[in-house]
Amino acid sequence: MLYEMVARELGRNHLRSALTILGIGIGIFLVITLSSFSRGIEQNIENDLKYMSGLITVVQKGIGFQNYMFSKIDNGVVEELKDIAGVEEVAPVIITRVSGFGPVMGMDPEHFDMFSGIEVGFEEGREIERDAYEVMLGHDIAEKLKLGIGDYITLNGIKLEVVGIFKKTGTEDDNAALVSLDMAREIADMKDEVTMVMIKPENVEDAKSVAEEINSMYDDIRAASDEDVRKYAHKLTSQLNILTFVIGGVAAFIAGIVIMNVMIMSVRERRREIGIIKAIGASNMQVLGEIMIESIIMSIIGAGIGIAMSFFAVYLINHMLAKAIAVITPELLIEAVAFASTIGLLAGILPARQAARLDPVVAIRYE
Amino acid sequence: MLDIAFKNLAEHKLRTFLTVLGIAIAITAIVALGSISAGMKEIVHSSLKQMGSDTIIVMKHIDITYGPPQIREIDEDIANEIAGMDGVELAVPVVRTNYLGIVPILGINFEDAALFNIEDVDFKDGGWYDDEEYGCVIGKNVAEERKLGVGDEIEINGKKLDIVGVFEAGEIKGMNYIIAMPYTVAQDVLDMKGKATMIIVKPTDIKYTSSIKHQIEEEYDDMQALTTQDMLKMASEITSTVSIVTLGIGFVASIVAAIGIIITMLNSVHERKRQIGIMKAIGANRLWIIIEVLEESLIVSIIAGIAGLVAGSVMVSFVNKYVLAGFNIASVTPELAAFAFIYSISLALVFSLYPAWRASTIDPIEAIRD
Repeated sequence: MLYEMVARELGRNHLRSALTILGIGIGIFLVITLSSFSRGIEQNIENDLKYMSGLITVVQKGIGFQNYMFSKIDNGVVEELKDIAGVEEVAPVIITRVSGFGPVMGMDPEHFDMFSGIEVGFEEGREIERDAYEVMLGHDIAEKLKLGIGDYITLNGIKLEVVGIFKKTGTEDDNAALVSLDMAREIADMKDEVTMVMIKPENVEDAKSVAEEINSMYDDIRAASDEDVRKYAHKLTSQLNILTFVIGGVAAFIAGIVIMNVMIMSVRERRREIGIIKAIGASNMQVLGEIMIESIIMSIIGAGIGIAMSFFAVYLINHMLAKAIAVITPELLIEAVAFASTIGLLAGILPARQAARLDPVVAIRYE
Repeated sequence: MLDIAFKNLAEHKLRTFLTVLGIAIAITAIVALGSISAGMKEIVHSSLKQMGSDTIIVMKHIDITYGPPQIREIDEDIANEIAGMDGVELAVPVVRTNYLGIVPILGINFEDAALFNIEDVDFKDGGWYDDEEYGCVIGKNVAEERKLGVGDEIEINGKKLDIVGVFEAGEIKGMNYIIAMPYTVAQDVLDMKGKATMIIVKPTDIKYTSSIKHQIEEEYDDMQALTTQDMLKMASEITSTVSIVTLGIGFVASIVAAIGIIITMLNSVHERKRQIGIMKAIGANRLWIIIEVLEESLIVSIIAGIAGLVAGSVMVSFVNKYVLAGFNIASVTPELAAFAFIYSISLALVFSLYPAWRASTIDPIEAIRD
């Protein structure tokens, strides 16, 4: 009986219910759309971390791992790192950015096997050969520049033959190029140094201690095991996640106030009805629950509308920027629905208590 | 007429309070978020004052794809090459770091300080360094935050520098957060021998500015030569993007608040159907009714606007003081305050139009009979 009343009440004042639901919908839309940017960043970082699983990353000291592009390490240091106990393999890497193109990464092919954490297949073609004027391209950049196997591309005056094109990964890598280290030295004009060094320890369990050993030996570089990097990145992204959720949550919070206001109006208008229900035996708890459910139902319907709107907005944004920058993750959806329900619940408390405390005698007499 | 509006609002204290609260939060968001772009604009304009209108700044292209902008090193020999170009009077290499969170270092010799318009900053204590000296001068905020004064030493990257002066820059706010030292000292401290971060170029005459710019950009692929106009343009592009995002968020929040206004006003009109009917029956015309309803929302929005402005300003000063550690990035400018307040009022009035129109169409006979 009570649940029929909920449905009837929501239908009774169409315009008001629709507006309230729209309000919470807009609020949830803003939360999800804003948060999708930080989730997208998080996912890109997660993806970068996959490359590093089980490995130690070495960058110049003072450069954050998120700005590794600006790091520099002397060739001499790279050679010394090979002699450290517990180090199995050392892969010097150059990362540069070619204007008018995008990120270019240089690494010799014999080190490709180090990155066991990922399996990027080729759409077509093969691996580059060491020291050959050859390049492998990400899916999107190849498509954008209309390049195929056998074509040539000139990066900072260096002419390279396209020998491989990667499968689409949906990340930044789709716009990148991979060349062997010496090619990257020419492209980036970095003869005496590299950007960063990836180290494979003899035992994966020793990654942390080898990294500590390197840090104690050198003042100007910083080594981090994949676990360290993950921790650091996680701290950064979780702060960003909280910030976007809070800013986006402002509108949903206002929507909560609107719901509360509407529920107070609704209880006031239905005094008589509530009084009669109580007079024929409904308990205070039943009345309380009924009003709360009404409030929560409105929030959840609103959340559904907000989710639909944000999917549309995120699709448009990514489409316009031609990159998957914003990502709506399942966790984000769950958080958004939980947030909406909480708002509905909190907004319902005060009106529900008002309803539950109504004295049937007074309420029925009231006109 | 206003007394009727006040009476109606007072009769439903909780409802009025909640409506005001909704709008006030939206205005708070607009003030707090808007202050970021307003503050950025102020900082940009004050730092542009550091340069003469004819100087050109040469630096490497800045990449912001991977995180915050980073300053990249340039060979200092390039300054000599540029100095030899036609129309160039002076080309001075300078070291200027600008990482947020770390105190920026400016490496410039005193004899070149005029290029940055800082040669005549007010010294609260001490004075400029000798260009051969291993010392530095610090802005007053650095001095306050680190509790340092003339005669103390400051340690940067493990190197100790004597502090020979504490200065206060009036108009150029950002300077108060700087540690300035001779060019070669900065190179030593930052371990960048032979490198600079930018080159300041002064033409012999302002009319050569653009030809020098083109000459430099043609000669060096990876460099950009920025005139004052270029920098103004770049800065306004960045700040307007920030404005759009921040105001967009505030706008969406205010739409939700506006929905609250419609609902409240519709409810208020509905409840007073009889009263409005009687008013019409005794001669009130439609316009009178519309104005009466709008008055109610005007009062709500004025209260909400003031509350939002106060809450927003408090929040901004809190963020400046505790989160940004005294570096006042966010700023509530008079324009922003006026905008937020007027926006609050217009929002309430526009979204009350429909309820007001509904009230004005009430049929007195039906309303009184009900």
